[in-house]
Amino acid sequence: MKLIPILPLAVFALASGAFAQSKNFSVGASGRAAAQVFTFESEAELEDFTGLTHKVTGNLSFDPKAKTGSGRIVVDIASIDTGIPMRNDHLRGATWFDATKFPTATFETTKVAHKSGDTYTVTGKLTVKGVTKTITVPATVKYMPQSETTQRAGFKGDVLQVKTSFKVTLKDYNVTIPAPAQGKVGESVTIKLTVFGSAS
Amino acid sequence: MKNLYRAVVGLAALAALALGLGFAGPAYYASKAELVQRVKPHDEAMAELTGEVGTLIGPPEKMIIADPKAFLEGTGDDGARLADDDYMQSNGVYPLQLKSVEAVSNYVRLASGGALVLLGVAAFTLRRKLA
Repeated sequence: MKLIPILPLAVFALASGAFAQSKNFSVGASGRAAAQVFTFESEAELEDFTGLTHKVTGNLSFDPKAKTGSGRIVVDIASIDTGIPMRNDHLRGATWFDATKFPTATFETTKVAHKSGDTYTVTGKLTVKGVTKTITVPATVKYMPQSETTQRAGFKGDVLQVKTSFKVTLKDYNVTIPAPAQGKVGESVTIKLTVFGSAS
Repeated sequence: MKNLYRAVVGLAALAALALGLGFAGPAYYASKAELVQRVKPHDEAMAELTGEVGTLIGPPEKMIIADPKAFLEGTGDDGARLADDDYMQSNGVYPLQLKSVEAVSNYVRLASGGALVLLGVAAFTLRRKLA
C-alpha cells in the first residue's frame, strides 16, 4: 500500500532525470558573434563568389547522452556581404532574396537522427523568401562541456558547435536569376553554416 | 587601296597578337595560381577550443594572391594553402580566380580569332584586287 504513492514520484524522478540531460544553448547572443558564420557559395561563369554574414541567431537544445536535439536558426539575409557592393544590392533585390520584404531565412528542426561520432542527419523546415520546404541535411555537432578552454574562448557555460553544408535550388524558393545572367550563374547554391551555441 | 590593305594587314597582325596573348595569358597565370582555401581565422582561444585554424570560406580554388602576407601557415586537408580572408578584406587584397582569367581569355580568343579570320579574308581579297 505504501508503494502506491511512491511509484508516481519514482516515475517523475526518472523522467526528470532523463529530461535534465537536454541542455539549451543560445546562438549569437554572446560576444562571439564573429564565430557564427553563414555562407552561400554560387558558381558563376566569370567568377565564383561567396556571400557571408555573421548575423546568425537562434536557440538549440541538445541531449549529449541521448544524442538528439532540436533548434531554430535565423539568418539575417539583408546583411550578407559578397565583397562587391553592387552584387550585394542585386542579391538583396526583389528578383533574388528580396531582403526588404523577407529580411531573414530560418531553419527549424523537426527531427534529429544520430549517425555516428559527431555526425547527424537533421530534418527541418527551411524558409527562404517566404517559401518553406522540408529538407534533410547532414550536420556535425560537437558538445563541449564547460571548462577552462571554453571560458578562455569567451563562453560562460557549455558550448555546442553545429556545422552543416547542403545545396539549395534557387527556384525552389522563388529566387529567379534575371534573364541576362541566366546560364552564367549557377541555379543552385551551397549553404554552409557554422554556429556556436552557449549554454546560459 | 594600298593604304586600306596596309591598315587591314596591320589590324590582322594586332588580332594575331591578341590571339597569342589569349593563349599565353592563361598559361602564365596558371603557373602563378595556387590551390587556395580562404579562412576566417579563429583567435588563439577559439582555435584551442575547436582544434581548427578557423572557419573555411568557400571551396578551395585555384587563385592568384599577390600579397604573401595573406597566407597562413599550414595547408587544408586537400593540400590547399590557407589564406586569411580577414587580412585580404582589410588590406584590399582581391584574390584573382584562375577561372576568371580563363573565362576572359576565352572571350579574347573568340573575338581575336574571329577578327583574324575576317581581316585575313579582307586582306586576301584586297591583295588580289591590287595585283
